[in-house]
Amino acid sequence: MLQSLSGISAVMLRRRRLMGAACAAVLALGMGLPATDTFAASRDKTIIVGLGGAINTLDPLRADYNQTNTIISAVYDTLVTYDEAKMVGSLATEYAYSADAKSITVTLRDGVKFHDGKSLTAKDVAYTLDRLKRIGTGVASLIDGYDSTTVKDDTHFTINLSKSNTLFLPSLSKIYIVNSALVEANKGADEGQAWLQGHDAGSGPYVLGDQSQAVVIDLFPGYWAPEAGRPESIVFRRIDESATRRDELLAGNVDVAFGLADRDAAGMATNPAVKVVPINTSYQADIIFNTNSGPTADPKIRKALRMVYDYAGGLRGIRGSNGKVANGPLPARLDCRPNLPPVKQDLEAAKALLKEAGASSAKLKMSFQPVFELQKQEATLFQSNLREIGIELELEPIAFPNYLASLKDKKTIPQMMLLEDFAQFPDAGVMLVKGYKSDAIGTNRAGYSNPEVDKLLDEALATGDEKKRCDLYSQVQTILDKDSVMIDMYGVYKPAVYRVGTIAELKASMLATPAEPADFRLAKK
Amino acid sequence: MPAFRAYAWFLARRLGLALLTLWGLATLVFLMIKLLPGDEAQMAAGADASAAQIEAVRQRLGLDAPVIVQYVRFLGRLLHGDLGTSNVTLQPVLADLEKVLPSTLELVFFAMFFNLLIAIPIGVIAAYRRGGVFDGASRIGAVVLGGMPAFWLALVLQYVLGSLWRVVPISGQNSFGNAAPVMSGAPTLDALLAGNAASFVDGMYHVLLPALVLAALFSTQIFRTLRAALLGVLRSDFIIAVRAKGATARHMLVRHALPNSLNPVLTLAGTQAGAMIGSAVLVETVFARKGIGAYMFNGVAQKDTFAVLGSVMFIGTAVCLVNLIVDILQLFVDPRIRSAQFGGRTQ
Amino acid sequence: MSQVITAPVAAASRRKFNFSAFEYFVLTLVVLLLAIAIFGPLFAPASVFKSDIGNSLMPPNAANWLGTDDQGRDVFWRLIVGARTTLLSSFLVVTLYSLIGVALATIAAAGPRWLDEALMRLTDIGLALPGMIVALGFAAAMGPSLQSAIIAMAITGWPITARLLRGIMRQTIELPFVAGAQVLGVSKWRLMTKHILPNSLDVLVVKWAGDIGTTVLVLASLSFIGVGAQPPSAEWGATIASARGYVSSAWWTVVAPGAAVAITSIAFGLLGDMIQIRRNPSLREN
Repeated sequence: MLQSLSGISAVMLRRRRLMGAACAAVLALGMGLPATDTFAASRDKTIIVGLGGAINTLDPLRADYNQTNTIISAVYDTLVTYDEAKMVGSLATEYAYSADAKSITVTLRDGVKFHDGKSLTAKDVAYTLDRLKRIGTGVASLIDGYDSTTVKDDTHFTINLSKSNTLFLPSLSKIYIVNSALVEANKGADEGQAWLQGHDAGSGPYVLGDQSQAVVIDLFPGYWAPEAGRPESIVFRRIDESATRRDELLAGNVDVAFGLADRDAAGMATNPAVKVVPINTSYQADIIFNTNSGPTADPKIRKALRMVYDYAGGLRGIRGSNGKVANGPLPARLDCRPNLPPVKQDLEAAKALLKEAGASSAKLKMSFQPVFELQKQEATLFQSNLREIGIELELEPIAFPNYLASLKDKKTIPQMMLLEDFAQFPDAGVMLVKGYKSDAIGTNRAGYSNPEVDKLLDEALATGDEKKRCDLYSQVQTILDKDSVMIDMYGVYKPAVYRVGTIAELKASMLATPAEPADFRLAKK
Repeated sequence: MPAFRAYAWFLARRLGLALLTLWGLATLVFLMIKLLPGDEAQMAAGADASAAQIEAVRQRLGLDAPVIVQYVRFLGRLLHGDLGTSNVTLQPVLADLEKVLPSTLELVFFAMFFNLLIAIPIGVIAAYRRGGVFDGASRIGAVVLGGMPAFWLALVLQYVLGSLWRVVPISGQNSFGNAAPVMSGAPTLDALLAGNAASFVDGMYHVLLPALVLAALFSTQIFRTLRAALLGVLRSDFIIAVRAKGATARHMLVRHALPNSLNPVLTLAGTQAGAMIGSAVLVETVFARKGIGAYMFNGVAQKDTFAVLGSVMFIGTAVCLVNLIVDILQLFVDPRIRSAQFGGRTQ
Repeated sequence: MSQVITAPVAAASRRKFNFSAFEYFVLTLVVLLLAIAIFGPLFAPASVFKSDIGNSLMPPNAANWLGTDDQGRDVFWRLIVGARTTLLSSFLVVTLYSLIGVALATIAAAGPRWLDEALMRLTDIGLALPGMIVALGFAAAMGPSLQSAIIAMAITGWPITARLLRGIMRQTIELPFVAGAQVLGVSKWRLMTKHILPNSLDVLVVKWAGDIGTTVLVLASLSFIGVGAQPPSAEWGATIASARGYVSSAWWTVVAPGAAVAITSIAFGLLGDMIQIRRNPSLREN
């Protein structure tokens, strides 16, 4: 294109050529070099997990945030845990309620060490519980009624409650024990929340590692319950887009993808390189009403709205049939559920009922979390369903922490909130007491207040008899269903997908959905 | 030297202007904070703070004092680098931003690099071969590329080049095992600092597509401006003289025509640097990269209001600084600017 | 970019009506887009806002010319409906900030020197903030919505317009005929409104047309990241955002709105160029 070169230009050209050669050399060198191991573990002993949503903090206080809980479940230990739906001891070897259910005597396991080498003693348990009580947010709502801990010696202590609460012991499966000396030394002005946001004070099978780009946890050699086959490193990469998560999985940059959109998972069903696992735990998609203020305070309107949503269509089209239509306010996998009939879509009946309530052309509002694509689609579907009977629905995006804050005042609770409900641990009681007892301000999502329900739940909290408790819970659920506190849509089996040959299997967990990283075992030994 | 006095005076004026702009920016942010609906102390304390915690924050921020006093205190806090505290990370906003700023700068640096690397040669050839096939094609290309939404381009290219053809990485900033120890926060820089060639190349691969996408829109502007300027220069007398002396086309273009046309291009590039920092948010969210844009975006999604407003202040300051540096550089590069700045009225 | 000031006397010669083929093409495109934005939604079937999950993500066929999206809605008609939101919002934004810019520029050019300086410093502050960032700030303060995006864009758009027009006006004021008119006793106000302002409006129109193009892009970008139009708005950026996960499985849901944004942006950009060239044929080579 350009003319032949004069002398001056040749120098420039040579210079250019040299530069080009140098670049090529660097590139070739770079590609030829093996990846330098900045991590202790090699790639085939590491499992990379792709999950969506912000990992805001690693403070065990916020085990109520899903992403936080997934990671800290492997970095910390709890006193008790659940094997499927049965409670078993973890750090605690023995535990028993007193006769009046107002205190629990616990025997702690011996020889447990924190990641920094210190021993885990009863003092740490007391510190953890007291810290939660002082801060009052996050999972502190689970230890309602906690008064104090009496430490007898390093391995024996008694938890004192101010009122009988048979939910307390199961709740301990979500209370992660922190290294009191470490947190105390770094507590700053906010009880260590800023420090624990990115630091490790645990005793679990993994230690918190590098957090510059992804959150990495590395195997802790001094763990009290070692198991063979654990990955040496687990990397948690935040990838919000399900499609991107899927693509990274297929490309081999991610080994396990949590929470894929059903459509994406369905597309991989026939791919032999990956295995799709529909995780059936306790997730249920619900639209929860504000039963106290606003148009949804009228039970007739609530009952009518329950007949508007296209359950079958939503389950099939949005969730790819990964789930089952709901029948009751509690997820199907829990025990102690009554046998209630599922609600069907019946637009005519809904219209008639709304007319009766004088709300034929009401304007309603629904909040939802736009960061979850499927929920956005469900919100849009419901909006479209309502338009068919002449009701206008305004969709309001909201972030989860703001939703939690709105629960503090019955008037600020959203008229309707679309969310995927789940049980913090597999006990029917926790969802009922936390969700529908009138004094559970801050977790009572419907602003619900029914003295009959309160009475039944109080009785259950004070009853040591499991069968009786179960029966009481069933009664409560029947009342809630009659009162239409929510539109129970469907139980969802969120697909998790893993690459064949990375982990041996993916076990669904009711405590840390979809699976507990501590349960991962490498496929090749 | 009289020239030195002129320089010094210009610099002083320019710095004064920058400070004034920063002050105006701070005032704007303060206004935005005051205009927020709801209780400011509650918003600063966090979504689920207790009443006692909210009170403590109210005291700390001095929200009971008259607005003027609050304004002065606000400016004072800014001068100390206190941009507020994030409710989500519980860290000071400035600390959060410092952690992610290098990553955005890395993206913007490479975007600007590709921007100029692609636009300048094409502009030169198009101008030289005015009216030819190349010229026509590149002009059409510039028009089309300039109208495409960057995020759309990002999505499509991410799929085609990343997932489908596997030519470039899909997301993130490093592949597993290739990350160098964090020192600055920008993966390629960290790799250089650690002397890790593999990590450097890996980081480059990951920033390649995002930088190209970010550069796309801006490169069309550079192309147009350069071409227009070059066309003007190529008609001038001294170019004819250079050619008459027997210089080759290449020599004439690169040694004479180009340097004389670069002035408007550099001005434009300087403005673009600021705009790139702003547009980085689109690219960062699609490619899952850390950065100021992603941080701000997260802040909006999680209603971390003070983190967002602190970021606005921070980015505004950064852009202001970039503009200042560009103006000063221009002063040294082009003598004509000096006279325009010192004597002219219209900018 | 230097602007050549044509003295008002030359205004008449600009009226030539023979357009080239290319110019016809651009004009037709722009008129078509405007027509779609204004009249299109009148023809849209009601199903545009109705979800038909069973029919979701269908490829283009006879019933759905551009296929259906993830809610089973017809992509083609959603584009038509979305055109109204996108284009009208963009028009609103550009007109708003152009008006602000003109007003401020007039005051700056006609007023005393200190006012001019003060206003120019104000524009400096305005120029320091990238539009995207301000939009995010407003979204945080007011909650994400189309309104907050429009306000943010209007606030960040005026500085450049104001700067440009003030420059033109100042240059015009320097011209001899202005001094002559003042000597003749013409009031400053009359000068501004009858002579200087109309002259500058040429430049304004060019910028206005080109800005529509870029504003469409910016609005789509803001809606894409979620701080502009909210679902179920058919605004093109919001549509691309909801179709984001289907690039591989249902490309038409992403390509169609993206192409719509691109075509609109390019068309208006070319319109701006066209007007500019007509105004000043010496720029034709650009």
